Amino acid sequence: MRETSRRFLGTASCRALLGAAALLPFLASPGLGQALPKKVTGRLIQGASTRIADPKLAHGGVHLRYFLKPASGRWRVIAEVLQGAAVIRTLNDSVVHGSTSAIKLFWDGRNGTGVFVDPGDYTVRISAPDSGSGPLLYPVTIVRLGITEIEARPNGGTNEWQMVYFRKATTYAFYATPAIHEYLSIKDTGEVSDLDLNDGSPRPAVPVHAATHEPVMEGANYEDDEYNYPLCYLINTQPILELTFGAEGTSAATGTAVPAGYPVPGYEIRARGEDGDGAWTSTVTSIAPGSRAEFTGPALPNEAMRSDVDVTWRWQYRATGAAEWLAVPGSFATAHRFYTIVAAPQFASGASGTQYSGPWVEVAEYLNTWRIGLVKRALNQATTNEVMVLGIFGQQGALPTAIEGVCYDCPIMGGDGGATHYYSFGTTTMDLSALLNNHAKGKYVNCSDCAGTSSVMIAMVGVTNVKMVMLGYMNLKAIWGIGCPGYTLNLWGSSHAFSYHHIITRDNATHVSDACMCVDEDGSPTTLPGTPGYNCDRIWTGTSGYMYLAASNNVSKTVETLPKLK
Amino acid sequence: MKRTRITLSGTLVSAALWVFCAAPFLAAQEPAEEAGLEAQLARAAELYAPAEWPQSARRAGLALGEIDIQGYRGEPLRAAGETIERRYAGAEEELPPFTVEAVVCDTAKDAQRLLLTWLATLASVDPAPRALDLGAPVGDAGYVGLSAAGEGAMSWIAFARANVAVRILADDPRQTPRPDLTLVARTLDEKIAEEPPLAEDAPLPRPAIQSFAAERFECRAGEVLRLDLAVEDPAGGPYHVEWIVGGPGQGYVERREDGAWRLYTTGSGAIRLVAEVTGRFGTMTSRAIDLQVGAER
Repeated sequence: MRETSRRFLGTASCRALLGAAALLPFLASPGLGQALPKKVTGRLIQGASTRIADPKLAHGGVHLRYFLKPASGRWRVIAEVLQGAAVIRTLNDSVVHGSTSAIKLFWDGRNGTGVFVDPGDYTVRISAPDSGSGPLLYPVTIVRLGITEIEARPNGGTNEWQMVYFRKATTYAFYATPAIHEYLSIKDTGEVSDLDLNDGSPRPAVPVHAATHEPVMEGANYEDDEYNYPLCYLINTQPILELTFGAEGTSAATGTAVPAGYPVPGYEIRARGEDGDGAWTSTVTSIAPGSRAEFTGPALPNEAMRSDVDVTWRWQYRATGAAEWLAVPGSFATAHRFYTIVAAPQFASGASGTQYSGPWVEVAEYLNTWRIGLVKRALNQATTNEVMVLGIFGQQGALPTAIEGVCYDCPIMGGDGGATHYYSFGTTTMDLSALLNNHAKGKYVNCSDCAGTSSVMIAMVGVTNVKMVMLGYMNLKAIWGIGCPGYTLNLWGSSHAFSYHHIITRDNATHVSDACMCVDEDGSPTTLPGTPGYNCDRIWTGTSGYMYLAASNNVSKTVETLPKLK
Repeated sequence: MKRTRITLSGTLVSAALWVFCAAPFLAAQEPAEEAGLEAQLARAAELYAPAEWPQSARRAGLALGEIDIQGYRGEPLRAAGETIERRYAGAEEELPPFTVEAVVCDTAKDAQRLLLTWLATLASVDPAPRALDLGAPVGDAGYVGLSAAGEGAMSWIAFARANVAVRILADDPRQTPRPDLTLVARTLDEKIAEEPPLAEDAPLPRPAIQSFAAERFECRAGEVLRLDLAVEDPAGGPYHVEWIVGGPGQGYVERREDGAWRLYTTGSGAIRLVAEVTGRFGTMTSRAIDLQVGAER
């Protein structure tokens, strides 16, 4: 016994010495100043971990979990990433306390030199060499997930439209947002892949194009590889976005194009979206590089307005046939600008050209600005008409000026006799693009310009049956002209009458709207001062009617058509 | 007598009451002047007597793209249908801009009708003064919109010379220094007049589209088609092309570095592609081709 004890002691001393020697490399590790407890056999147990990952997604990478038991022990734990048999990254090499809960590790998808690894198969090996437990092996497949195109699609009917820009640098040119994809993010000339930049870092999402007059330009030409245009839907529609998934990334190591690395045999991958209002759902359960999938989002507002929506796209995977979907860590966010309108855009009958492809972005933006400035809601055609007429006239609420800062062409404004600047009688065409280009043909307008402007703008945001109405001679009462400081009974300095007048209607002139002037609604329309009487769907006849409040004579009217657009 | 007076008084009161009550509707009982452009033109004809306007012999047109105005920088020519426009901005940015719009018509009568239309659609009942009366003899007939900004500031000046109608619009006549619209008008007028008169029955020298075709007439949305457009302008000089992409198919046309026009299709459906070619003298010719753009895939 004694001898045995001595042998044991001797053996124990020897082991202690050997153990101390073995510990020397770890003395620099945190917490190693303490004496190790007596040796305890440990157990490494695998926990739920990421099987498929794209580290280039925001917060993407590989989450690993393992258990180290018992909780009373502590062991040196080495976690390494292997590509084949080669260790390409050491994630951990330190003494770890045992725990009853899972211990977490994260691999950011970079190798030992700090660059992203290429798509492919890797293994994470976690070992605790002194624990007496064998290493844990985690197979991981790195893929490259990403979106190259997004196309807005109608949802069960005609409820989605392209939008139109009217400038191209210093020239006038109409451009419709591409129906095949309003969002595009692909390689440009000289670039290697669609999903990544040439240094292998992920290509950032394309921000929403916020300009309202001109599309995205690339030098003198329209941009054709990177844009994110606004979308237009009918109010209360659940929008559908069709995503195209990218097929290639760029190797950070070699700078060459590399395949996206999926499908992964034995697994399905799908995508999901989410915004602040809810989920973007899809029935597609298996995507592949270059494939497409439709996602239906939460319903858009039930009024005409602009909505800026950030959609976070995430990917999930599952073993083929399994029920449970697991998250591919990380996400990719795209921003989208939605304009909603109350009905299908209306244009002059028989007109043809890009300008008639859908609502103009600047017009839809004006509608949104005006509804905010006027604190009104464009819920239907009547209220949309009201917002637009009041907005064009401006000079109330938070709208200090008329549209584009124009004013009526009359002497008190430094003008002349009410000349038409933007509306062409001969061709029945409204030069809206010049007006919206900071009143490029002068800041004066007359009634035809105002009626032309209001009719085409109101119609293109979905108000139906809008027409111009030409009125005959008007012996005027007190009026407040667009852009003018107030009411007048002496419009021209020497007279106070219209040789003709132009207004609009949406019910063949039973009611009329006039964005060019206000009538005086204080009960005494032939004297000053005036009380603003805005003309939004004002009835034509009667003592509160347009004709009585605007003129002292019987005014003839001729219902015309909706003008063409220039 | 007393009774009569009472009766008269009562009648007057009744009449006054009737007038007061009916006043809002009296106007509606008066005959209204006819509305519509033709009625306006008829009234303007009475006011401006266009039948008395002289008519110069037809000219080739106006080479607006070549006209430089001292102190101004001419922006790219804009053509829409038969109308050509060019905006001039102050080269030093101190001169407020103005815009020239011109239409080269087939006949002098057509040009004068356009001038009359501009005058007929003035909202004021007061007639515009003749340019001639203000010391600015331009065109066969010319009129001026005098700005209330004073010192002879003009809001616009319009004239018809031969078969060309021209209107010059000041951006804001209140801004100083003011553009000399009279000088601009004279420059343009002289430019029109210096072209030799055309024979009465001679056609206007319009650009000729010698060929216009796409490399294919069917494609899928997203494809880019090379366009062949060959134009000869008898007046020589550069010509201007406006492209009209008529839907429901969608796309746009651009000229790339190699000089060739290309149609970039961006939406499926039939496309009627129209090339409107405006020649050096402002005359326009157009031709259309039809394409079928299928779904992307």
